[in-house]
Amino acid sequence: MDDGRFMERLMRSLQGAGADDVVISSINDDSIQLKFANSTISTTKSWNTQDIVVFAAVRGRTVSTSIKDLSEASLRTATKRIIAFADSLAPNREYEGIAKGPFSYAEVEGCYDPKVRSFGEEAPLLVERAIRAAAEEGVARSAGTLRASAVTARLISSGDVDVTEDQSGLYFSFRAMKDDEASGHAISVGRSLGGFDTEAAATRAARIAMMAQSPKTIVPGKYEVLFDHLAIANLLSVAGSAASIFSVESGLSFFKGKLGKRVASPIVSLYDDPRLPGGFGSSKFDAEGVPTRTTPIIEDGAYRNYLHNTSTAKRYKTETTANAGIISPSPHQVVMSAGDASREELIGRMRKGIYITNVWYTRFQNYETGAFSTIPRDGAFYVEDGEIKHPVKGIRLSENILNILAQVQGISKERRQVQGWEVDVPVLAPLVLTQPLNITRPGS
Amino acid sequence: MKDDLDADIAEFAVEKAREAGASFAEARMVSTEGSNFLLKNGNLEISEFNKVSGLGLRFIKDGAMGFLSSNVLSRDNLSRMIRRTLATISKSRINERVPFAEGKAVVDRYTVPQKRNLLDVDPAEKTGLLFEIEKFLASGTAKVPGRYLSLGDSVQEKLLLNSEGTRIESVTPRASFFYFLTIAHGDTSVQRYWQHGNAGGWEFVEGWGLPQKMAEEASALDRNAREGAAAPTGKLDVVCGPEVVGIMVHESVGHPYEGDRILGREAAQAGESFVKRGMLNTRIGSDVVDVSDDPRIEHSFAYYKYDDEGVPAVEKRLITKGMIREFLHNRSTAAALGTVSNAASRATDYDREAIVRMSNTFLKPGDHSEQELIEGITRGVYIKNFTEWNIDDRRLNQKYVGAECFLIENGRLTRPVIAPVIEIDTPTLWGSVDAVADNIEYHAGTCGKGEPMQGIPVWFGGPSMRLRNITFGGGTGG
Repeated sequence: MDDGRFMERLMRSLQGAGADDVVISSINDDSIQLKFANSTISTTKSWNTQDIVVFAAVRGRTVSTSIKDLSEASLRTATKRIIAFADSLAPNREYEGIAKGPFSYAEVEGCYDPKVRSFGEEAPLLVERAIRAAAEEGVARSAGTLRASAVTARLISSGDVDVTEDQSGLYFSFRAMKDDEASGHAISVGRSLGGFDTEAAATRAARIAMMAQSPKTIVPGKYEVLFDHLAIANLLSVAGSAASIFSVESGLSFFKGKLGKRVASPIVSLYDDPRLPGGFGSSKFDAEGVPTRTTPIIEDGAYRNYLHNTSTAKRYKTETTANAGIISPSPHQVVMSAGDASREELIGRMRKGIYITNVWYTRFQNYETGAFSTIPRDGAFYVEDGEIKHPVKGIRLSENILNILAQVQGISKERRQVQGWEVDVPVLAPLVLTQPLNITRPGS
Repeated sequence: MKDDLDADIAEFAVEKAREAGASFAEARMVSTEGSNFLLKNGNLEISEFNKVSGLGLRFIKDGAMGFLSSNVLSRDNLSRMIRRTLATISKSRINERVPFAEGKAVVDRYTVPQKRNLLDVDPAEKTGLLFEIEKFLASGTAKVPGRYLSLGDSVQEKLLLNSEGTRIESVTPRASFFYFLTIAHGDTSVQRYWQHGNAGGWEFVEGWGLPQKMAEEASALDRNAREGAAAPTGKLDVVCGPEVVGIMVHESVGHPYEGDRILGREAAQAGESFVKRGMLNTRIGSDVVDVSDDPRIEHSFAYYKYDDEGVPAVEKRLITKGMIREFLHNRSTAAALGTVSNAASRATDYDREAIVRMSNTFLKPGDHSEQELIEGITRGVYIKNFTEWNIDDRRLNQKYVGAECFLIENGRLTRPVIAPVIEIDTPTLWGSVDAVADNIEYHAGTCGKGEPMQGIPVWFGGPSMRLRNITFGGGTGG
């Protein structure tokens, strides 16, 4: 039977067998990816997957599973197995139920471009143009990926929810290398072909790489830091995850105990915004089918809200922020409010600092205190008296994320959507300038 | 072979790709069944069981590499996907002509034995173990307000077929346990996470001795926080325990020796490598340093008899007596570098392309006892395990922050120290090793690489080792 009919029949079957709450979602994903390296396309990939995921609460026990076989026999087996599995479990004492609908949904603008479905054959040309654009800037080689996906998601629940959404996604990641020590990285992320500019991303990456030639070591110590879009997005993605009440309860959040308190410079405002038009993480409903909304995480430097689903909200006597995960609430898309400065103005304000274009391998020593370090990757530049002096190498930012938020002194007007290898949660990121932070290096 | 792995469909896919002009085609059908549980602060929050299956098809057409995957295994759908992938390939004027080493057909089947099949253990028994750990943690001396305990198991069946006549069927059960503890210390806390993992049955989970081990670790970290002195700075000798040696080996030997990094094929994601093709047979460490990667260790977390290109597994001797001797290869990187594959090609599932990966990577044991290493130090630090760590994407600049650590004074462990920091470059690290102990241990991890990301089971390990004159310092972020 088709997946829609299977979902509806499984819902009735599970309810008939004693399940109190049921959420069933299907995702049909069609994607292509071009992976390129050394300025050639090394692999052309294509995916087509259909997944059905089931959540059931049975007398306080909670069970999740996925189903692939959509036959009549599978329907019976799945029902029996889910109920039997639940029977063998201890209750989930903190489970308080799912959202009750029906709901009305406002579409999020710009999240589906049907042209992306048939985009595949144009993709090599976009990669080729990007590689050429970077070469014209003078780089020696380029690497990256281009991915195009079209997804149809449907969710039904025993809470009288039935909602469907089509989404498209385009992701282009481009790393340009002049030599072993001089590289630059830029991305282009979006939902539709309009504005998806691979050549512009390649040119940005290449210009960073060209500027990064002949890096020097610097004396470790305190430096003002200007984070470019990719670099700050890495940290803001972590901050978004730390806003989940699940992270707070798990010891994975530096926002624990911070509700209503000052956690950042007064110029910092941070939102979870699944309503952002054309946003890579935008969606009109969460994993319970609750219509999405914009939730302030930090406003004017003060911590405002943890991210909740229906169940966690009940436990904390508040309302869901429409951030289900049914068990673990999670952010949809982190948006940092824009400032009013240009990149040049921010550089102009620096007396002695480092301009960091990208970071990677962010690891925490303690998520609750916020102690962590991350490694600048690609071009990083020493700035003195408002001017970029020279590229630097071999450095590490060894800091506390709450201190970084507190030390923000400037934010750019320009923002870019970022998603990527270490940026799990999509971020709309500006450039961010801070007061001096702790820069270390081997042997320091 | 169960119904999930339909050999006819795999053969159809290979044949269809060949008909379309592929010079080489390889189908991997994978079916994985298992369960996962999360006990968070004593509450059973996640209980799931899953069975997923599908097919990944890789082929070479006119020198270009294509990969497709689906869990919709109709002939029509697979034919459509092959056409779509080939159409995209044909539009490109910049396809790499992928070098590919000659393959030898292998026909075999193997099963990793289980004394107690993971799929036969009742969920109540699996979650019961987590509750038992919870009880042990509650009864210990340490205050542990954050207890994140996750137990997972899977049985993965795989069928690998290729156009050269290879046909390998395998069944690999795996169990893993991950924990993340927050131990209260005054107004603040210390945190630690770690993983256990084996290929095998439930008997390995029982063998980990988790309740006792977890309680001991919580108590040790609590003591470290309560009684620990401030971390020393400046130049000191150090003894790193097996967990620390394991992560050092993984990050600064295993990764930079991956053939695809050396060739720049992972440049945009996992990065490149400071190691170049011309560095074979050059010195990277002292002559007591020997590092290998070996998937053949029975019941190891990364165990396999053949890699995902059907190449028989072998020991890769990455460093012998301080000299770089071998890289990690699949058929493509081996051909590009003029050698043969040493079976390092792995994929996490049917929907991921196999790429060059580590398996079980370890420093080989020496003939000292750990005690002898410590006795040879007048003033130094013993780092038993670690918390924060990271390394740059060329694998030169790395940082390790100790968790349970002690001062060494006149050849003896004296008092705990809090969070000593080593920030060091790779040649200095391996060049500073002057003695290696005999207490080899292996530890489990999930190694990330590729785009889309592939988190693959690995072991990393080794015995304790001593390093001379290491700079301690840097910043810890407070």
